[in-house]
Amino acid sequence: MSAAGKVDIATGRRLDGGQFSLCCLTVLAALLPHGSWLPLPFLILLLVLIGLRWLQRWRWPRVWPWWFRNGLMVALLVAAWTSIGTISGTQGAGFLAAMLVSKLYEAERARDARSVATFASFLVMAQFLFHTQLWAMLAGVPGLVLALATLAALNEPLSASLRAWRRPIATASRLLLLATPIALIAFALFPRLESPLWGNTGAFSRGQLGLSDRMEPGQIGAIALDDRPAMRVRFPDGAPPPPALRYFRGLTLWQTDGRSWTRPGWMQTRLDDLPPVPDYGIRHEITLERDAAPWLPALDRPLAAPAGLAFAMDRSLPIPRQTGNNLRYEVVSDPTLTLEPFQLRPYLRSLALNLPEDRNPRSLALALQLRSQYPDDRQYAQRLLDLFREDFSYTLEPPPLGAHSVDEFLFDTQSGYCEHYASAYATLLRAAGIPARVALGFQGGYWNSVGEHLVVRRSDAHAWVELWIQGSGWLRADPTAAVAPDRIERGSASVAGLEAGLLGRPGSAWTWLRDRWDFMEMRWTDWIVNYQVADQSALLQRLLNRLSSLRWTLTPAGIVAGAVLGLLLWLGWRRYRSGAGADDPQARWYARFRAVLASVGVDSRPSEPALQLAARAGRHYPALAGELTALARDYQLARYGPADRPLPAGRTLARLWLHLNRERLRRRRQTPD
Amino acid sequence: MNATMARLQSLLPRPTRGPLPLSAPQRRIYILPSRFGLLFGLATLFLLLGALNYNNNPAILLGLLLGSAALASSVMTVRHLARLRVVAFKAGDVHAGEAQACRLVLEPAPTRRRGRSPNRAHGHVRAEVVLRHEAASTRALPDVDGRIHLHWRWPSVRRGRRALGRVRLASEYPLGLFRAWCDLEPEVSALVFPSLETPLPAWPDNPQSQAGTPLRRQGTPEEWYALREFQRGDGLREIAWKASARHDRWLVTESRAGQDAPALEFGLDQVAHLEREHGIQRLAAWVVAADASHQPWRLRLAGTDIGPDAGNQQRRLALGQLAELP
Repeated sequence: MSAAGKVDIATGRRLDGGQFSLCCLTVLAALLPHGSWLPLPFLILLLVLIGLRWLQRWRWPRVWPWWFRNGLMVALLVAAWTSIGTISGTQGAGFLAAMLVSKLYEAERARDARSVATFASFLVMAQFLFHTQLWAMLAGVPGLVLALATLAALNEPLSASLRAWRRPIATASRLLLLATPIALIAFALFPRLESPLWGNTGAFSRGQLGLSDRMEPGQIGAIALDDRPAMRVRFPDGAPPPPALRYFRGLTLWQTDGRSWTRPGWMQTRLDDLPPVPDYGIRHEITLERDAAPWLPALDRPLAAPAGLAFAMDRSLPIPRQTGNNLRYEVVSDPTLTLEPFQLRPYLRSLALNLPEDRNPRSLALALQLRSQYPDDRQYAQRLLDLFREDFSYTLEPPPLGAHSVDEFLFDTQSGYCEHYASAYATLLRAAGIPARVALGFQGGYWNSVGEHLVVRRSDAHAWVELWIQGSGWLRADPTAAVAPDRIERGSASVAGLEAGLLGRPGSAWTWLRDRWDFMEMRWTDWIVNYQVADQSALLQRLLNRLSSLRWTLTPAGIVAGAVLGLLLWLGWRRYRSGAGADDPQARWYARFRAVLASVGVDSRPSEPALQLAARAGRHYPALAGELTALARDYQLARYGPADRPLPAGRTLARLWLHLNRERLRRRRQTPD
Repeated sequence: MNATMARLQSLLPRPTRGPLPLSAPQRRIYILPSRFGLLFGLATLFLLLGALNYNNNPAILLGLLLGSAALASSVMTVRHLARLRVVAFKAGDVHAGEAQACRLVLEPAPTRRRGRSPNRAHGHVRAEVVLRHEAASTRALPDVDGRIHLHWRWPSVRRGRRALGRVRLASEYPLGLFRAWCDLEPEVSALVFPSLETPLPAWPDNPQSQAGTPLRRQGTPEEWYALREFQRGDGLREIAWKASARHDRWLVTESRAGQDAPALEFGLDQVAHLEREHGIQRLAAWVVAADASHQPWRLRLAGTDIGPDAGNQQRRLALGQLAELP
């Protein structure tokens, strides 16, 4: 390395132990949040490889040959391929993770550390393709801090001691803190796209985690313990409806093969837009987690919406195509609304009565037998509910059912949960000639008094039945309510056993914490995740309005505030320039002393000794020479004498100012004579 | 590329000049993204584009956070450089034609912030500073006191005093994304001694001393005159071992003989027949040779008269005088 050479030490130097460890930590921190979706064996493989590499470089610091590094990379990519199954789209993040880990095996120089830091921040960001919750953001922060700390460490070589690591990490944290306000402002103003540039980005894997547009025995039970929020509902006009009315209707299922219930595809067609908001009904605003359901649930029964929503044929609300993943919407509902009260269209009627003839023969026989006893539709429906109440039990772990699932449920197992009851009830109704359909959605919810919103969890998924009765139209009937009233009154937690423990009790620390966390999560979803073009323009509009209205109403106040601010800034600047120590009362006193003298025409330099200055001033004002000298001596004693010597009081300075000015006035009066 | 840069450079205002300590005002500090910074910016841009495409607000937020942190680091870079001031410059002894060992010492200005002990403020930033001066470039990290010692070798051509000229300080602290630099012209100079004539010319004809016969100080203990501190250049024989052991420091004897020995005499008139530079080189060579042989000598120049004496200090004084001859 010649002195004049172009050798860039910063990129050519070998990484020291601390720098390399930071690289490893960065990859680790960026990788860990992906643990939620990466196949476990693959994740463990990557973690082990990181650990091995760290250990190897620490104990046997040799450089791997190129064929080993390339072979490892290919092997890792193949492993990613086989374990994840695909590398396209969002799953490409697994590839990125594999590349990053293999990059660690060739990380020897500063340049490698820089690529590791850059791609690690890529990986951190890629996790948001899978989760957008608040915890995901918080989980991403360590990766970001460490990536920046890796970069910082390249400019501050680390010693071996652990404490030396604090410096780059502190630098990185400080930078991120500095960056936060800038980033937030930029976030609000950053231009958004109305439609994606490439690819189909709306397709999230739905149905595996939440509800789908299909119901089979065992399906809802699978998510009964899923405690994640599905949606949050706010009621701007006041309190939420009582628990018994908290039915969030999604869609209706019409077709059955005796076991599963589905919905004909054409049912999904958007029929007509919702009418504008009337002055009655329950107004509510829903924020739906985007993988919770493939439709927009709304409080039964949706009546109207401000804009953008349309009804399908069964009065369900399909997700509008254009909005991407903006799943915040407002709906007005009226629980008392009647639907198609007098006439059911023939093809709908036949659809609502259709049953496979070769399935569930015992149920059909039972229906015919009961129907002969209860010819009235309402009485028959009520008799069925009584039947459920008498003999059946509610459980989240029912025995599995076969092809004749309704028969097996009704006559053999006699235990199940909402979808068993809904399925059986609808089947029995149809068999008796009463049009019926299964409604799918959510029921219940937990009232968060901190955020004043209703949290509906995935475990609140529910199925019930709507039956059509001449003159009343479609009526909601929930057989589950007959079997397990607790499920309806107190929510799914009451039956899942979640509430039984100490944790779920209202007033416990856990509830306290959960309420607050949920509140923050909702704010996060509202303000960050669902921030869209429309919000952006609304924000700008509001800002502009605010500004233009401010101009006229607040001008005088603005001028005053500006003046005060300017004065404060000027004072701060002066103090900064004068350098008078803020913690040094003596220096402050002397500065004031000098200022007093300057006001009567005796200028001085900060370096001038007090006694000399006093003597000089005394020559200008002989009458006050004694006072000046006394003050200067007092000051000097306080400054340089014994420690407990007090400064001359501020009053004395004021008096001095008075005397000096009086003297000056007197002189000025004399001079004209 | 270089020509363009040079032209751009000429558009900038003149670098800050002044005596030490000297620091660059903040508005004379320039900053541009480094190559890695450009790549990083490009990567962040792509990232944001991807996030925008997926309409993924958390990813956008994180990307903006990353970008803002990068921008904030540029402020730190400039502030770091603005706080540094050049406090000392030291140039080693060198004869024309050799490279001169130079050292520039930088020190962070004490912060005005309250409640910070000066030590902490000094040791706070461990940032590398790169210096470029003429063709040489060097870099250094602060020591424990926060001082940065930049060493480099500066080729010399002619004897005489030369101004340090323009130095460029640059730093990529803290993330290496931006490179800030400032040009300074401290009003300090380095002295280059005349080069020595080789081979060593014969001693001048001198009436007062036997020229060419080096006088060894062969004093006996009876002739001791005084003890003095050891100086570089003193011979091993002159060390007063017993006295040194007693006083626990190196002492040498100065003998009466040494004091009384007739001095070698050099002067411009002895080399008047040579071309001027050649003559100065010859005088310099004599001075160095005389110093190496521990003989007392004197040098007469127009207006100044050095010696008779011996030792390092006198040699440097004489060489300095020779270097600065018009």
